[in-house]
Amino acid sequence: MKRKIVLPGSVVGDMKSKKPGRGTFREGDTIYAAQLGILNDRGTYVSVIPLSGVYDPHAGDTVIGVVQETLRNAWMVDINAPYPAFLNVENVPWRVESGETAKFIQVDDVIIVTITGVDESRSIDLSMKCRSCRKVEGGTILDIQPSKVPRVIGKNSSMLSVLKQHTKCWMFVGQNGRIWIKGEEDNVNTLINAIRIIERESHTVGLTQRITKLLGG
Amino acid sequence: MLIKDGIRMDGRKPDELRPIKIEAGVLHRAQGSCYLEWGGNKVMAAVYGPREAIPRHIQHPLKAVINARYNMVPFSVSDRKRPGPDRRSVEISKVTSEALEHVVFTGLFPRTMIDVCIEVLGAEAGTRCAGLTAAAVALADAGIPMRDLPVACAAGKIDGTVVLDLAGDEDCEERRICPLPLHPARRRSC
Repeated sequence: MKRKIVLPGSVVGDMKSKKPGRGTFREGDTIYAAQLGILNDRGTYVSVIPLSGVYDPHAGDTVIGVVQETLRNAWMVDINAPYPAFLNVENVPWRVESGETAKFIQVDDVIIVTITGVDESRSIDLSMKCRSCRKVEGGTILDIQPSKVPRVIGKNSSMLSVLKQHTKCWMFVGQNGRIWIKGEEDNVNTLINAIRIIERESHTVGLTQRITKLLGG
Repeated sequence: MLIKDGIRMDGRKPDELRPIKIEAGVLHRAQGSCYLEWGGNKVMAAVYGPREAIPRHIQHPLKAVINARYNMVPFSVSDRKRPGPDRRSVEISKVTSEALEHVVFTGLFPRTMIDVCIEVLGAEAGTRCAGLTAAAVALADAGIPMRDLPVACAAGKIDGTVVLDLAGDEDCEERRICPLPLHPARRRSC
């Protein structure tokens, strides 16, 4: 299967046979690519899977954030998005009195949170009231391109289970391109190496098999 | 005599460009980057963002602000250039920002800014065109949605002949030069 890489402004289809999907735009009857990426024109929609790009926050995403500031009734969290994200005291599993936010989560703490909403002014609301949400203790945080996250997870989490199984590490992949890893030092280094290979070769075919082979599977 | 029998001093035809080399993704700390060599021009461009626009009064509630910064390093020309912004670089930065604003889907990132840093490391006429072309590649490398990949080229008239991409002596002696940013896919100017 050959994958076609398109540049912004490349013609990727026409309105007679296709509909414009993600990473594309239309002008008249022609559909153009808006981003540098891999063309996907299977089905009725034609879309471009970007090779890079900033994290575009959506409600329901689970992300890894770093606390930037403790406010009176909220925490300001850096979730690798271009907009500020707020975690209100009402959205944490503990009862927090006004002005006591720093007793629970301090600046530079790493937390796993879900995005509950992104409003029109692009202010992001976060919540910690879900099963996977917690304050992260120990381990390493790795930053990858947010557009490569689906490749690290794989179809039906296939890549994720290969990585976990062969390196015996705990890991959590945030939709914002941050990965938390915890385990023995050698295993963590092997895992980071594998993730870097996935990031670099994400556009190639048969990656899961190659990674399994690399990790000794 | 800058042109003789339809051949220019450096052996090029009137519509021939100097050799171009483009490399994307050269800086790891930037979202997108590009190193471009165009004849004797050596340009490095880096894109940071979209990120929260600071100071906040420059934020636009409906679109991203593109902040291009063109700078020639002191050793880029044979006579040392005084470092820091000057009238010329401020003007080129403004024109480059406006040319890029026409192609980037700024409406997708309200209240943010996209910083485009263009550093001219070596100059041999046509640095603003090389800078814009490098900035476009860096923006594409950063994954920023764009209508097109803009390119720019200078055009001038030497002894009654229209020539493209003026270099060296042509640029020094000929004052009627028009740098033109273009949308290659639409075949029109920015």
